[in-house]
Amino acid sequence: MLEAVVNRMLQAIITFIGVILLVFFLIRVLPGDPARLIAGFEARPEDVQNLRHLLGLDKPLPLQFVDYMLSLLKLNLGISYKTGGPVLNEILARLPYTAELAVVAEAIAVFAGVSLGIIAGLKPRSFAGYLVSIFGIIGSSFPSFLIALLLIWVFAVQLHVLPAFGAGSIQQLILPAITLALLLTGNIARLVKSSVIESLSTNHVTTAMAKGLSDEKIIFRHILRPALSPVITIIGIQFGSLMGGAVITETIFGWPGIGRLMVDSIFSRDFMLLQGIIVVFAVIFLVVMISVEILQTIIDPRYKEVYKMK
Amino acid sequence: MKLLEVEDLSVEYHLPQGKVKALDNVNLTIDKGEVVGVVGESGSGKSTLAHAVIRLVKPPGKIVEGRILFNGKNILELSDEEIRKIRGKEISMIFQDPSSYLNPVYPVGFQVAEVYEAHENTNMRKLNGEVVSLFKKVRITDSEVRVGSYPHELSGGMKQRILIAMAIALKPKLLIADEPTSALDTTIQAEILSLLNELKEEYSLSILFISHDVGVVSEIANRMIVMYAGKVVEEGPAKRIVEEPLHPYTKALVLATKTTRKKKLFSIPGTPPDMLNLPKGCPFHPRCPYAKDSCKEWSYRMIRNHEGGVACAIYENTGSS
Repeated sequence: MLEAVVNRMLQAIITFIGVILLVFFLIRVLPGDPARLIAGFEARPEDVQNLRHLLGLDKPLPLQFVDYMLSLLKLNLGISYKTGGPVLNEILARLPYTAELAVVAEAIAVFAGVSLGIIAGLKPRSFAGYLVSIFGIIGSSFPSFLIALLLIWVFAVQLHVLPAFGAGSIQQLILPAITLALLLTGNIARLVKSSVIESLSTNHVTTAMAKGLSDEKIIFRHILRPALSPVITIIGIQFGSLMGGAVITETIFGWPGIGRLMVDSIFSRDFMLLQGIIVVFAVIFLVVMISVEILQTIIDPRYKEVYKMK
Repeated sequence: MKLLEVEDLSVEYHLPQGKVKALDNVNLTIDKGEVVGVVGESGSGKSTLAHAVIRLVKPPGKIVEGRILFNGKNILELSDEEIRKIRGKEISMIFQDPSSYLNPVYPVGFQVAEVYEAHENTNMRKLNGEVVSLFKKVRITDSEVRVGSYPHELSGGMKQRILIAMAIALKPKLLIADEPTSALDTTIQAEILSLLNELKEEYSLSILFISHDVGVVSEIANRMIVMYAGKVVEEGPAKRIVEEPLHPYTKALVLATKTTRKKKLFSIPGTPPDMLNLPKGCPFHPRCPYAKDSCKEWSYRMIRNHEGGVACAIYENTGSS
C-alpha cells in the first residue's frame, strides 16, 4: 500500500514538472510586456529596460525557467509584478474562500447526487428517476451565470432572504454554493444511477439475496459499494476543478476566490502570479487525484493490482 | 416425507419479442435427504426452476401459476420478510459461475459471515472462528488466511467451495445447486461433487441438482427429471434413466454423454427449440427420430407409474403401435 502511494507520488512529481514547463513557456508566448505594463505607457524606454532587468525578464528563457524552478524548491513562487508582494501570500489569501465554496458545493452535490442516483437506480421510473434527468439537463446545458442570475433574482431580489453577493458569512455562501452544486449534481446522479442499475443485475446481488440479507444491506453493501469507484473519480475531478476556482460564479457573486485572482492576473499580465496560481492548482489537482486512487483501492481492492501494475 | 412439492408451476418471461413460457406446468417433489437431478439443454427452463424455488426469478420473468410447498408452506404466498428468513437458512443456493456470484469488493470470509449475520444477529467480529471451521469443512486449505482473501485472489474451485460454505453455514434443509460444476475443470468438478456427496450425508441435506450433464447428475442424484422446452418430459430413478431412458430426448441426451466418453461425439440433431415459437404438438418432434405425424397433434400428458413417468406419444396405449 505504502509502496503504491510513494510510487504514485513520484509519478505525480513528474507530471508536476511537465505542467510547470508547459505553463512557463506558454505564458511567455502571450503578447504583452509586463515591464511595459508596470511602468506605464508613458514611461521612458530606459526605465522599462531597468525594470525588465530588475525582474529578470532580460535573461534568456531557459535561465528564467531554472531560476523559477530553484525558487519553487524553496516554496517561493516569486513576486507579483502588480502588487510587489509575494505571489504565495496573494494566493493563500484567496485560497480559503475557494476551498470553502468548493467543499460546500461539492458536499451538497455529492449528498443530493448520490441519494437521488440510488433511488433512481433502484426505481428508474420513479419521480427521482425523472429528477435525475432534469438535473442532468441542467448540468450539461445551463451556463452557470444563468443559474446564478436566476437564483439571485428569486432569493435576493424577489424574496429578500439571501444576499446577492459578497463573502464572509454563511448567508453569502449559500447562493454561490447552490449554483455550483446544481451544475455538479446531475453528473453524479446520472453516474450513480447507471452504476446502480448495472450493479443490480450482477450475479453477486443474487447471492446476497439468496443469503437472506435484508434489503438495506443488499443495497448498501452489495449494490452501492461496488458501484462507487467511477463515482469517486468523477467527484475527484469535479472537486479538483472547483479548487481551481469557479471564475464565472465567483465573479457574479463577488466571491474573492482564486478564480477571480487568476482572471485579474491575466488581464494585468502578472505572469508570476498567473504562473503561481496554475502551479498551486496543479498541486491541488494531483493531491486530489492521488486521494481518489487511494480511496478506490480501499473501496474496491481490485484497484490495488491495477495501480501497482503501472 | 415430502420436503418440497412443486405443483403446476409456470413461469413466463415477457420479452419485447413476445411471451416465453420458461416453465410450463412443472411438477416435482423432493423428499427429506433426497437428491433430485434436473437435466436438460440450455433454455429448457431448469435454471428458472432452480431460481423459482426460492423466489429469485429475475424480471422480466414472473411466476404466473402454481404452488411451491416447502414443509407444507406455500413459498409463493409468503411475505418478503418471511421468504427472506427462509433464504440462506432453510433453503440455500449455489451457482454456476462462482466468480461472478461473489462480491469482488469484500473478503470472502466476510461474505460467508453475512449468512450468520442475516439470520442470527451475531456480531460480525465474533464470527471469524466459525467461518474458519466452515472453510475447513469444505476443505479450503489455509483457511485462516483464506478468510481474508478477495475473490479475485482465488481459483474457480476455491470460489465454488466458498459458495458452498455460505450455503451450508446454517445447515439448511434444501440446497439448490444450479450447475455448480459446469464452469470448473473436470478434476475440480469431481472434487466438488464428492464434497457435496459428503455434506449431503453429514447434514442429511436434500439437494435439487441442476445440470446439463446426465453423467454428473447420475453421480449424485437419487431421482432425475428431464426437461425440454419448459416441460418435464421424463422422471424416474436416476439409475433407471441412465440405463434405460424412455423418452427419445432422454435417450439422445444419455447417448450424447456416453459417446463423449468414448471420444465419438454424438449430438442431438437439430437445434434447441425457439422458445418464442414452439412447434405445435410435442415440442421435440422436429428433432425426434421416432416422430410420427400424430406427434404434431399430441397434447402434453405425463404417463405415470409408481416410480416416475414419461411424456411421449410412443408410450400411450391409445397410439397406433
